[in-house]
Amino acid sequence: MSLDAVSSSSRLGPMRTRPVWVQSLQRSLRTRQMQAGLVLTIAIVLLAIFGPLFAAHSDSAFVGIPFSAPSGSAPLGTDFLGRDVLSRVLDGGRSVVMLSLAATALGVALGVIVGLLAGYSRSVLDDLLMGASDIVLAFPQIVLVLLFVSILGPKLWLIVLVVALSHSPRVARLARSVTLELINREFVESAVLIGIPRRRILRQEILPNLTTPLLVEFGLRLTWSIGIIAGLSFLGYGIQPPNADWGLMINENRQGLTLQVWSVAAPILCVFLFTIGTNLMTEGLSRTLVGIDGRGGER
Amino acid sequence: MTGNLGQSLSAREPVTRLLAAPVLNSLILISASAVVSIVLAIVLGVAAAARRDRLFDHLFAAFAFLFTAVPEFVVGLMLVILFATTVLVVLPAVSIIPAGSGPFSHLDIFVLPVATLVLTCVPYLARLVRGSMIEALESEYVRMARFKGLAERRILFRHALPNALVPALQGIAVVLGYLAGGIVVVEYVFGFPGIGTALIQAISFRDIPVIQAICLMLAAVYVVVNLFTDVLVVFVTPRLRTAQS
Repeated sequence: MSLDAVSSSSRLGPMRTRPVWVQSLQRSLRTRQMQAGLVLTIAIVLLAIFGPLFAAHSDSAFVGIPFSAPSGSAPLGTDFLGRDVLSRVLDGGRSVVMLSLAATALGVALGVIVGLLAGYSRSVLDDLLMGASDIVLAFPQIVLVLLFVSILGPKLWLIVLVVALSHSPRVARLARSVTLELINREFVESAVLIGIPRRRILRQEILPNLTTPLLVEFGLRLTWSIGIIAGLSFLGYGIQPPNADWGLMINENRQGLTLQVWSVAAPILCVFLFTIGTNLMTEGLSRTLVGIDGRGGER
Repeated sequence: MTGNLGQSLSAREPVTRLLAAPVLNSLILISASAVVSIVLAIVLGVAAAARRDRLFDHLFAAFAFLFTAVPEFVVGLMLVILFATTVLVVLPAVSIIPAGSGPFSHLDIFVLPVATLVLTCVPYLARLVRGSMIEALESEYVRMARFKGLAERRILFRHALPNALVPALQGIAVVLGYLAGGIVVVEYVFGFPGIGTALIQAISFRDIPVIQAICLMLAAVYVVVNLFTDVLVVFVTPRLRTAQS
C-alpha cells in the first residue's frame, strides 16, 4: 500500500484544501457499496435509537402465553416468557449499537497511540509494544473478551474496555506500518531538521496521512465489534436479562425455534443487516483508498 | 513448567483425560472447515478472476459482500432455521454424539457447524484468491504464455495459480487463526461436543485449570499456524528460498 502523503504544516502557508479523510469520504460516497451500506447502517442505527419510542409494550410486560404466534397485539409473536417480540426488538438495539461504537472508537484511539509511538520511537519501546501486541493477538478476540468479562462480571464499561483492548493491537500494527513508511519521507525529515518537536511532527505530519487507512480500519473494527458484542450477549456474558438485547434474545428464544421462529429470526435479521451495512461502508471506503494512486489493493 | 495440565475442579478428573474427546472433535471440525474453505475459496476465486466483470464475478462479489464479517452465530442460526427447523428439516440442529460412539459414526452432525464456519471464512479467502489471481493474470509471464498459444486452462492452473497462491497463504493463516476463535461460538450454537463448548462450560463453573488448558491450545493454534505459514511462504517462493548473502 503506498500512500498519498501530504504535509499539513507547510511553511509556505496553510493549505486551503479540505482534510484528506474528508476527501476520501466524499469520494467513497460515489461508490454503490458506500451508498447501500450507509442506507442500511443508518436504518439500523435509527431503529436502535428511536425504536424504544415506538415500542407498543414495555420490554418486560407479559402480553400472551410463551411462544405464541404473531397476532394483533404482538405483530411478531411472543418470546419464551410471553413478552412482545417486536417491542423487545425495538428496545434491544441500543446496547449493541452504542457499545460497539464506543468500543471501536476507544480501540482505534488506543491502537493509533501505540502504533505511532512504536513506529516513531525506533527504540526498545517499539519491541516492547509490538511484543505485547503479539501476546494479545495470539488469543482469539472472542475468547479474550469472554475471559475478562466472565471473571470480572458483565459490566458495560468493562465490555467496552476489553473489546477495545482486543482491537488495539490490530490497529496498532497498521498505524505502525504506515508510520514506518512515512518516517523517511522528505517532509518528515525536513520537519525534524527545522526543529519541530516530536509531538507536533506526530500530530501534524504523520497523523493526517493515517486518517484514510484508519477510517477503513474503523469500519472493519466496527463490524467485528458488533459480532463480538452481540456474540457475548448471545453466550450469556453481555447484556443480562431481563434487559432487551438482540444477542440475548437470540439465545433466550432459541429453545422455541420450532414453535415461534420470529422470536429468533427478528433479532438475527437486525444483527445481520447491521453488519452487512457497516461492512459495505468499509468496502466503499477501501475502494477510494485504493483510488488515491490508482493501483494496488483489491480490484 | 511440567506439561501437566492439572486436575479439573468441577469434574475431579485430570484435564488431559477430560479434554481428550472434545479436542478430537474440535480438531475434526477445524480441519474439515479449513479444507472445505480453502478448496472452495480457490475454486470460487479462480472462477471469478477468470470471468472478471462478467455475471459470475458480480454474483460472487454480492455473495462476498453479504457474508464477510457476519457473526458466526448469526450464520449458524440462519442455517438452522433454513435446514433444521423451520424451512426444511433435513439436518440435525444440535450436534450430539451418543455416549459410547465415536465422532466418525455420526458425520451428519458435522454438516451444519462446518457449513457455518465455511460460510464465514470463504468470502474473505476467496476475494483474496481472486485479487491475487487477477494480478497474476495481468502479469507479463501470463501474456507471454498467451502469445505462445497455450490453452487458457493451462495458463490458469499451471502459470497463474501457483503464483497467486503465495499471497493467499497468508490469508489461509489468518483464516486458521480465526477458526480457533470461531469454533467457540459455533460449537455453542450447535451444542457441539468440542473444546469451545467445554470452554464456555468451564467458564461458567470457574474451572480454572480447564480454562487455562483450552486457552493455551487456542493460542498455540495461532502461533503454530503463523510459524508454519512463514516457513511455507519461503519454501514456495524460490526468490526467498535461494536468496543468500
